[in-house]
Amino acid sequence: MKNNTAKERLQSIISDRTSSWQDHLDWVNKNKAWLDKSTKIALKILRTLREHSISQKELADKLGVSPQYINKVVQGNENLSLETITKIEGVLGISLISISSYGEGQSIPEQLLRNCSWVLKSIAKPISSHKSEYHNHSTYEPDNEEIAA
Amino acid sequence: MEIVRIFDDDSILTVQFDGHETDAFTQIFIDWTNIEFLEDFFTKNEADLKHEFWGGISLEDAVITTRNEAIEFYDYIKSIADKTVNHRISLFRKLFKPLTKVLLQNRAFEMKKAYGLRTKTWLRIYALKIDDDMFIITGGTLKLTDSMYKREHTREELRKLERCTDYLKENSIIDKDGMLDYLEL
Repeated sequence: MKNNTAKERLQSIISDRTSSWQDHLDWVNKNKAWLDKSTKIALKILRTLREHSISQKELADKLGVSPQYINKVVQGNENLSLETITKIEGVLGISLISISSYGEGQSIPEQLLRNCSWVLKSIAKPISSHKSEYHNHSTYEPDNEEIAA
Repeated sequence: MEIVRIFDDDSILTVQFDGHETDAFTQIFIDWTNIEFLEDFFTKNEADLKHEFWGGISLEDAVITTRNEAIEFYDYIKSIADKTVNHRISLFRKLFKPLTKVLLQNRAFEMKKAYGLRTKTWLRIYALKIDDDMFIITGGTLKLTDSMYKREHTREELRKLERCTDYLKENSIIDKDGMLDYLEL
């Protein structure tokens, strides 16, 4: 024992296997875009389950899936389909993802506004050149029967 | 217990404890990127998380921050894999710091801990220093308190360091008192 250093002795018992950490890291980095989202969804599901004292098995039963599947979901490693997300939202009564929609309180991007402005200006010119014709239409008033119809 | 390599050479090693499905270094990454594990951990240790030192971070932010920082840390470890062994060891030595001055007394090996890459972090990885260019990573945890003795999950990391030390003694890698081999190195 004294003839060799601790380092040399340790080298003699090192396993032939190498640690698998790089495989796990590579997988996370390769799937980072959706994993960033699935982890946040997992966290919200977990916080809701805890808040309402619902077990993962109960959630699985309500969704008609296996508890193992739900466990994978709450670990944040499942690439969820929109169908599954919508089902979970329905069962838990929460919103997991939201899509921005114009006209629902979201501001319209500036570039889009500029484009719309350009289009409106381009069609406003011909309209103004036929002002009298359009003016006649604007003064047209339907009778009551047409409104009811 | 089994000693396995983290890189292609023998510079940085880790252990696979009996009954464990994977080695310690991989398990740390799996745990720190597992949202269920993190949510459970921070729920159990929420009182420590609320300590003013952590600046009032919410549990949800703690979970996401831990995951992101863990990936950042392992990305860094991967980035040093491409370096020469000497360069890698030099970076690794800078990364690790002595655990405590008290623990260093009467120890053949220095028990080392690596901090996450950010200034204020609770990520901790623990290792034994066998030689100036040889380390064994034994585990890691999220340390929210100042002392390792205050919480079970940090005490467990101390026990892992001891178990690994005992294993090395049992296999005659080091002397029973542990001092001689260290000094020889």
